[in-house]
Formats: sequence, structure tokens, C-alpha cells
Amino acid sequence: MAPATLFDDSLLTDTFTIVPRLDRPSTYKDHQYQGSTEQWSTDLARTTTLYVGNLSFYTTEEQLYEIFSKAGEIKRIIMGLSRTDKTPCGFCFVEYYTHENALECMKYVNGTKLDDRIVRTDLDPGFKEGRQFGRGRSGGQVRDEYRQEYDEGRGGWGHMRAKQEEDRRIQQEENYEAIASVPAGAELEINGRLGGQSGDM
Amino acid sequence: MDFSGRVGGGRRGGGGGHRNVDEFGRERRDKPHQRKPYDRPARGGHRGGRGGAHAAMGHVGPVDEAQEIESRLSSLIVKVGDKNTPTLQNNLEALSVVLEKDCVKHELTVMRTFRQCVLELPWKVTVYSTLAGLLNAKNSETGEKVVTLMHAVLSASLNRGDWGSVKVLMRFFALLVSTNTIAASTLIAMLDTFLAPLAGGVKVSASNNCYVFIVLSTLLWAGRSLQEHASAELEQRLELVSKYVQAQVEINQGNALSTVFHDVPPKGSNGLAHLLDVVRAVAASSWKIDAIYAPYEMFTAEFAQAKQHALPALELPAQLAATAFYTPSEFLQLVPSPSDQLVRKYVMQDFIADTLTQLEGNRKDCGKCLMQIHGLCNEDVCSVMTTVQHPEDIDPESTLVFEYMMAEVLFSFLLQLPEGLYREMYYTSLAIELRKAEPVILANVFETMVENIVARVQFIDVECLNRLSNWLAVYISNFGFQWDWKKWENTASEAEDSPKHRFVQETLLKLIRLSYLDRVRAMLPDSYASLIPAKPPAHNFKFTVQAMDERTRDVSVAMGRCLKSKGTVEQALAILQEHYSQWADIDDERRQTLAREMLVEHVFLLGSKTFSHMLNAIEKFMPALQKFGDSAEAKLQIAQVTEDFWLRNPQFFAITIDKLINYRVIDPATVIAMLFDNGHVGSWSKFHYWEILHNTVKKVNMRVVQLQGRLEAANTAANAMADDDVPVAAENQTAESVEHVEATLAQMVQEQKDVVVSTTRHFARLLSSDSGAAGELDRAWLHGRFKEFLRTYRVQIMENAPVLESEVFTAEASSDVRQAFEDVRKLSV
Repeated sequence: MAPATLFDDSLLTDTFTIVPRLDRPSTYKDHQYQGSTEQWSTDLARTTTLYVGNLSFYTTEEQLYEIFSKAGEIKRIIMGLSRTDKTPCGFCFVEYYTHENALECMKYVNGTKLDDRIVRTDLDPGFKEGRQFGRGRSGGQVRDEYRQEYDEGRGGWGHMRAKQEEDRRIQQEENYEAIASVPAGAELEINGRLGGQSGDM
Repeated sequence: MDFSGRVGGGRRGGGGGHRNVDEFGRERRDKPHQRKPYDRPARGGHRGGRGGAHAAMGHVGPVDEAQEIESRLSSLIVKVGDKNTPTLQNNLEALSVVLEKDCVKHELTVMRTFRQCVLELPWKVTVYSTLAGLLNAKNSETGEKVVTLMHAVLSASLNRGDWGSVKVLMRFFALLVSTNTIAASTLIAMLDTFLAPLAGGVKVSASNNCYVFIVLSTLLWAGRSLQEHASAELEQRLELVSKYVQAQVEINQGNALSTVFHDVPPKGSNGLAHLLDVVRAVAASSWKIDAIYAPYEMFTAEFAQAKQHALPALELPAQLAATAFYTPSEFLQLVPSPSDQLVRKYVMQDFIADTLTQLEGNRKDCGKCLMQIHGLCNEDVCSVMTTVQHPEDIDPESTLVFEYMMAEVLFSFLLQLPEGLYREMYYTSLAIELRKAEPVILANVFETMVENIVARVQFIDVECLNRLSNWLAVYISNFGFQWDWKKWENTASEAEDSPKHRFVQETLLKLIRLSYLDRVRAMLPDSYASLIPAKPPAHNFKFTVQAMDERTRDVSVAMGRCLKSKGTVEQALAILQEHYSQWADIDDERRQTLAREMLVEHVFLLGSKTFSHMLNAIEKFMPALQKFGDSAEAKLQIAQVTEDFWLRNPQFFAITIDKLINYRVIDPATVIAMLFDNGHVGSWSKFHYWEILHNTVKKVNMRVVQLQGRLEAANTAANAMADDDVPVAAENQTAESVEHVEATLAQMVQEQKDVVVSTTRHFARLLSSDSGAAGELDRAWLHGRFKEFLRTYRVQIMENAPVLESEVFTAEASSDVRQAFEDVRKLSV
């Protein structure tokens, strides 16, 4: 063994890498988690559960099973449901039998596509009753509350935007009166450059 | 734009470098598309982006400054030599001056960055060995620190059996001889450590294969300097490894169990022999490797005065299982390549393979790095595709094409036998990343690869074909389900169990599992109609499909009603009892059989909606299912009902079987009896039977491993208790638990043995009988699966070799069955 005095011993134990590993937890922390930050970290260091997001509402458990079993045997899948109508609202928890499988999932499955959508996974301290429900005002996930883009796989417009769109539709319906005959439009030859036959080019 | 000077948060004066902060003085978020693979703000092993790494950014002062210097230093080390440019020599010189000066102050950062560069950026080994040499030439103390650190890292990697790192580090040490940082004799001593097991004579084994592979890989790069300083020693080592490779080839030549393609005369599949050819070719050209830039050749004068450092002896790992060693295997040739470029091609593919291994923890950055490997190539070594080119404009037979070499390595890893280094999904998601980075070029390259493999489909190993099918389905589903299906349009007209028909059909079935029938159907030409099911996968509930007599209908209706209205296990059992006890015309056993079927069908119907429903249904009715599964025959019936219920949904069939084992309703032995039923003759080509077989065997093996772990833990706990003065009662409790685990383990090991022996017996029985398969093709599939089984579980097979030899592989077994056993024996030496 090399004389330990030559270089700092920590150089043989630190986990520094140039290329960051993908099987590390992200900076996200569930704000309803009942425990300290350290507890959160210890939970994640041995967890077998993943939070899975950005799913289409129409993605089935069997599709999830197919892709997630590429990283190991699945113990159970808990579909995320809308609090109000108990239908899938675009997230789920996948639980493996081993922590290693959860890490492999982070490395190999996170960021690939399912149903034409990028699957996002994150290590999770474990499912607790109640977490299967969306936390948005309308029952689904919070992100679907404020989403401004139209997303066909997630029920169209975000809930707030959907309400605006609906209001607009109602307003339009109320105010607009269809006409009976289509006007022909006046024939003018004042400015030939804008489309008339005569005039300079 | 840079507002940092004007608005709060910015640092006053000094430095001059533009800082990447926004108008509020906050760190700008990375835009991933602007990032180079290893360009990231975070340090200390954190993931990039926001996060704690830059918590100190708000402070102004020495800490901040030191951090900035350190992050600049590390980035300089990481980026040096990305490309073979005329300034590289100067850059290296300049960097060594800076590092020499700053090394004392920022030693930790410099050292760990250097360490990781050698480990994570293996294709730049010529750059980092030169840098180490320059540091050493300037200051031998710094040089010694670097060398001893890397040696300690090597020792640790060796100890862990991290062969990827060992190989990469040994190559680094090989080049340290060229930079005069260690003596030729020091490297020879290191090589001799790996060759020590051959001292008493050449004995082929998994560990020696691995050691010799590392020695040869090192010699490839060390040859030039060793020839200069220790040519006699070099010759001796070369002779010894040649002798070993010859012995290894004699044993494993043409081993069908480790051959991916059976169409070529079996020159392939032997990684060691191929590497030896490469080393000999390099030796013949006076050990010069001209594929990549070798900056150390520019600094001979500087190195001449440097001090060489002695190193302590390496030690081989004491206790590693045979399967924990790296199995050398050759890169498959999937696209033609110039035959006179053997060495260059190997060197490039070796770097690609090492990068794939070393950056397995991050496939995204691995993909980005892979695309840069050719940056250090010398001129005209290989061509790199461009988007404006038509793929056919490049002639791979006249020039090495980088993208083809890379894709060949990726597919060689995917198809590697006896097993891959990583999960199949790694190679799939890595390919997806690569294609995302170069959408046009790599879409073409991967398509060419798959087509070239499929063109040889009748020769490919069955397991490899299965892996390719899994790969392709996930790959296609990640790119909008687009694929040039027209090219395989004649598939439907081939025999149903022809390799191509089965491959295409199974891939389509996988695609449907990943999406849904209509989605896949919409992508296919009409001629594919017969390859996919007409209706979406569904259950096949017996008591609605088939005509039944009145009394059966009565039971079924009562059961359906009971289960639907959340009836209990007791209620369900009562209904069965009440009805069937009145059927006086049949005996008890028959009644029991009918009741069993009725129960299982209804429980499955209750759970048929989703995977979770199925788990719930089985969980709830577990007592009833266990009660009815009271004998081997009863369990087999349950398994067969499962198959029948999910006749049109193989995925659910597999899942349900899996969960029935978990809940101990059926045994692994049940599954094996069900799978090898004579009713499946003619269907051996179907992939899902084998998916179920592997799920089952792997589960048994996993349980053994877990119990071994538990036993170890229990023993440790017991010993710890014995050491302390604990009350006798508590001690007894622990002793009991050790005994309990031991008993369970013994039971599990017996089960494992039964599973392996009975599966082998079934295979041998079917393959040795005329009625075991329906025709040549069907038998070829079965034989392919047999080979897959033998090599995958070769450890367990060899553990049970005596029984298998005396009971299964007897003279009555067909010759190819016995040959396969010989092959697995050779594979396990």
C-alpha cells in the first residue's frame, strides 16, 4: 500500500465524478413529506419506489409494467388519480423489489418515451395512502392547473386555461349572431397596387 | 449580455471573466442544449443545475475566489485534448505549468479531477498520461503523488473486480513508461501480477481469461516503450500469453453457446484470440499505434530528465466468483470494413467500448462523449458522417466509418454472450440518446445495423434475436413508431415459425404492449395484417365463451354476483361448496377440479381490468386459491387455467403467473410443468413462454441470494451477541433465527436444484424425441432456448452436473443435446 501521507485519504473514498450519475435523487422534495431533510435523504438512499410523472392520462398500468420491468421485477404500481373523478391524472408510483432496480430505472428508463411522451422518474421515499391523489384544485396534478399549452394526452388545456377557453366559448356563443347571407364586399378601384387590374406595378 | 457589474450580486473588479449570472445576480440556469457533456457548474458530485453546489456564490471573498479558480482548473483538465489540434502540444505544456503551480493550493480538486479524467474519459489516455509525465518532469513530488494515487485507485478497482476501471488504468500506466514516469520494469512487475496464476502452467479459467485480456490490452499500448527498455521481458510475456490464448482457443473454438452468428466459420466470438491478432499486428509495425494523436512523443526531451517512481506490488482479488470476471468477447462485424485497418479499428472500438463501460452511470453524457471520441484521431484514420451526405456516399469498405464502428460496439454489447455486462435497457436508451443527438445520421446507421442483422436472421442465436427484438420495440416506440416496414413486407408469406416471421411478429407484439393495437396497426402496411392480432388483447373467460349446462351456469352466476358485490373468501367458498356438493353424478376429485376452475376463472375475471386489480384479486382470494392448490396436480391446473384465461394476452399471462408464484399459490415447479406440456409442441418459437421460464428461474435464484444475505446478517448478529454479555434468552432467540434462515435456505437451494434439473430434463426429453417438436424449425427454436437456458444458468447447471450427467445427458439423449452440455462445461472452466 502506498504511504498514506502522499495524498489525501479522501481521494480514495470520495464519490466525485465529472459526469454526474443519473441514479442520484434530484433536488425535488415532496412538501407534504413528514420528516426532516436528513430523513428524506436516508429514505431515498434505500428506497425501492419511484415517482413517475408526465404520463398521458390514457397510459395504462400494463404499458407502465412493460417499460418499467426493463429495470427489474415490479412489486406494484399505484396509479395517480384525480381526487374528484378517480381517473388517472398523469402520474404514478412504481415500486420494485430492490433498491438497485430503482436505480437502474433512473439510469435507463427515466427520460425515455412511453406513449410518445418523455417519462420522468424520481426516487421517492415510498408510497403513503393518500399520495395517489392529485393535489391540484381541480383534483388533478398542480401542474395541470396552471399549464398554458394544450396537451392532448393530459386532457387538453390546463384547468385554469380550460376555464378561460370555456368562458370565451360561452361569450362567443352568446354574443355572436350568425348572418343569413354572405356579403359580397364592395368593389373598389381606388388603389390598384393592392390588387386591382389597373395601376402601376 | 452581462449585467453583473451594474446590478447587485456581481463581484466588483478582479477576474475580468464574464460570469454567467442574470440581472438579479442569480446563476443562470443551464440550457442543456448548450452544455458540453462534462461542462457543468456544479462540483463535488452534485447533479447540475440549481442545487446546493453554488450556495457560496452569493458570498464575496476568498472562498468564492478559491472556488472559482478550482472550477476553472478542473474544467481546464477536463477539456484539454478534446481535439487533435496544432495547439494541443502548447496547451498541455501550459496546463502543466499552471497545475504545477496551483497543485499545492488546490491539490484535492486537481487530483480528484485528474483521477476521474483517467477513469471517465478513457479515449484521452494519451493526453492524460502526457500531462502526468509533464507534471512529473516539472516536479517529481507532484508526479509521485499522481502516480501513487492512480496506483491506489487501481488496487481498489482490482479488489472490487471493477474490470473496466482496471483495464483503463493499466493502459494509463502503460503509457507512463513512455513518459518516463515509471520504469519499464515497474510495468512488467504489474503485468506479472496478472500472469502469476499461469506460473505453474497454463490453465484456462474465467479469471485467467480476464487477466490475460488485461495484460494483452496493456501490452498493446506498452509495447513500444517495453521493446525499447525491456525487449526480452516483453517477448517472454508475449510468448506466455500467446500460449494461453492458444489453449483457450482450443477449448472454446466453435463453442455454440458463446457464438452470436453461426453463419461465419467460427473465427469470431473469441475476444482473446482477436486481441492477440491485433497485438501481433502492432508488434509487426514496430509497436506503433497511429490511430490517435500521441502527444508524449513531442516531449521526449522534457521526459528524459524526469524521475521514475517505484510502486508497491499489486494484489489480485482473493475471493471472486467465476462469474465476477470480465469475459473477453469480440466486437461483431455488422458492416463491412477495410480489412487492412485491423489495428486502427480495434483501437477505436476499444475506446468506444471503454467509454460505454465507464460512463454507464449517465447514458446521456455517455452518448455525447461517444460522439467526440474521434476528436483525437489522426488525419484520415476514420471518416465521420455528415448530414448532407447520403449514407450510400460513404463506402465502409474503403474507409473506417466512425458511426458504424460505434454502432457495432453498441450491438456487440447488446448481443454479448454468455451475457451482457449491463441490462439490455442500457443499450436501448443509449441508442435513443445517440439518435436524439444526431437524428438523421444515426437513424440511418441503426437501421442499417438492424437490417444487416436481420439479413442473417437464420444464423443468429435465438437469445440474441430475442434481445434484438426487445431493443427494437423500445427504440421504435421512442421515435414515433416510425420504421421502414416496407423492407420486411414479405415477412407474412414466410412460415409462421421461420426466424424472420417470428422476429417481426414478436417485435410488433412488444410494440403493442408498449402502446396499443390501433397505434401500431396505423403504422403498418396492409400486408402486415396477419402478423398482429385482429382484436386488442383481452381475457378469455371460460364461462361466457363456452356453452355450458344449466347447473354450471348457476354456479358461475352465483360466483360472479358474489365477487362483484365484494363478497368474502368464505362466501365464495360457501357457494362452491353448496353447488358442487349436490352434483351426485361425479366423484369428489372431479367436483374439486371443477370448483377449482370456477374459482380461479372468477378471481381472474375480477382482476382482469388492470395489473393492480389482478394483484388485489389474488391477494384477497389467496386463502381460497391456496386451499384449492393443495397438490402438484391442483397447482398445475391453476397454471393451465391461467394460460387459458389469458390466451389472448401473453403479457397478462406472464404477470399473473409471476404473481401467483409470489403469493405461493403455485410453485416454480408448477410453472415448469405447465411450460413444457406437450400441448405446447409446435409453439416453441413463441417468445412469451421463455419470458415466463426466465422470470421463474431468476426468481428462485434471487431468493437463494437474498437468503444467503440474510443468513450472513443473522450470523453476524449472533456473533456480535455472543461477544457481548447478553441475557441468555436473547441469545437463544438469535440462534433460533439463524437456524430458521438456514432451514429456509436449505429448502430454497433444494428448490433451485429441482428447477434446474427438471427444466434440463424437459428440454432433453423433448429434443431427444421425434414428437418433442413439430418440425425442423420448431425444434431449432427449442434447441436455441435450451442453449440459452444452459448458458444463463451455467453456474447452477455445473453445481448439478453429476445428477444431470447420470440422469439426463445419457446415451439416449440426442447428440446435439449432449454437445450443448459439453459446451456449457467448457464455458464454465
